[in-house]
Amino acid sequence: MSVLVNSPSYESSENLVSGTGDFSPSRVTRFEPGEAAKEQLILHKLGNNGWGRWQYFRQCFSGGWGEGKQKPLSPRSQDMFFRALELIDFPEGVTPSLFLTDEGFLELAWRDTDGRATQIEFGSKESEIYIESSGEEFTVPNERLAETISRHFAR
Amino acid sequence: MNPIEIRVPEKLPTRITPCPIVEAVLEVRFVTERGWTVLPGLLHQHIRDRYREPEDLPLAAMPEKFRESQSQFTYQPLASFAGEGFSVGLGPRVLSLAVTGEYPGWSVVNKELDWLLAKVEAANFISEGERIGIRYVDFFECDLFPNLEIQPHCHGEPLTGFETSLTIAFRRERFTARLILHNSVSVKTDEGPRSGSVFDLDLSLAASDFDLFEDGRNRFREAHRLNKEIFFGLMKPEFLSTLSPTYD
Repeated sequence: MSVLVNSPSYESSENLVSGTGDFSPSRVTRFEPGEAAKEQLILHKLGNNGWGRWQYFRQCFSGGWGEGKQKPLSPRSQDMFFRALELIDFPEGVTPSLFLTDEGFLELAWRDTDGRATQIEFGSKESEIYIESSGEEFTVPNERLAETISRHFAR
Repeated sequence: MNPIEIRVPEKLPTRITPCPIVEAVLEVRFVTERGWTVLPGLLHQHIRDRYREPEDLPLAAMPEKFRESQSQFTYQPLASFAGEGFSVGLGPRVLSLAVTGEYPGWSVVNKELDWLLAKVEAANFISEGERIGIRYVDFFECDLFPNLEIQPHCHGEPLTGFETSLTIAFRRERFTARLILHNSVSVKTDEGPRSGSVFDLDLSLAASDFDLFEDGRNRFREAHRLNKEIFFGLMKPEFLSTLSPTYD
């Protein structure tokens, strides 16, 4: 996420603000504090496609969308998604997919090496987990999500 | 993101003179299911006792498609409501309360924030808070770097006498702090433009760490306390003593 750091109350010395003039779109993105780490994390764990879908969801689905019943992307869902992503170790060679639900929650889905499905839907207060290999399907409050993720999906 | 060690004085001043605050803004970023066109009207009907009709800010004149395509505009206000000593900014994803004119002290700001949040809750357009933040910009008519406990160095020697700008992001308790220091800025004052340095500190909390209408007010108070602790904690004691600090 780019950020404007200039404040209306002061102006920096020209030498500190303006470099060589170039009005074409910059290839360099300045991030909000902490955002750079998130971008690196999602690229590392979900690859270019996952990163692209996340960018698309946050840019295009932050207001109401669809036929009117779909909710905007939940900031808390995003937070929980990133906290979980830090902890999950995906099986080698597996590329998880990222979805946005009608409730505005992010959902992560992947298949294990035997082709069985795992899904996590990150809600604003609790998250739903489905693990086909063990036949488990349960809801966990977000305060306990990290512990649950570590137990089931961290090596 | 890591914390940095800041030695907070045992007692914090309640006032320094002259008051260096040139900007104080409290901000809520949010998501809403309502379209932008209805938001200013929805808010104004609840705050009309203290704030005038909304005025469009220059960015509102830009085409919506263009604004949406530029991420730096996502959290910019498009309308402003002027009040006595404060202004409220509103955009499709942001609400801000800014002090206009002389800083009236935290207790007054805090009271106004409480009032505003109650009205925003009644207006009922925020689906979920995304981030809350508090930003203070303090201006000093001197080079601030030698007077602070934080300073850039070259080969172990402090860099002095250069136009310098430093930005650092760090954790403080559960908040994210972003500190910007510039020693070559100009500020417009009632007495005309002045040059010097700014201490620009923003403290923010992510969506999972607050619930706007349940504990948002307390989180803002925490952010203010941390802002003050960092500000005075990074100031060298000998510099602080030149600012006529008063304590309760």
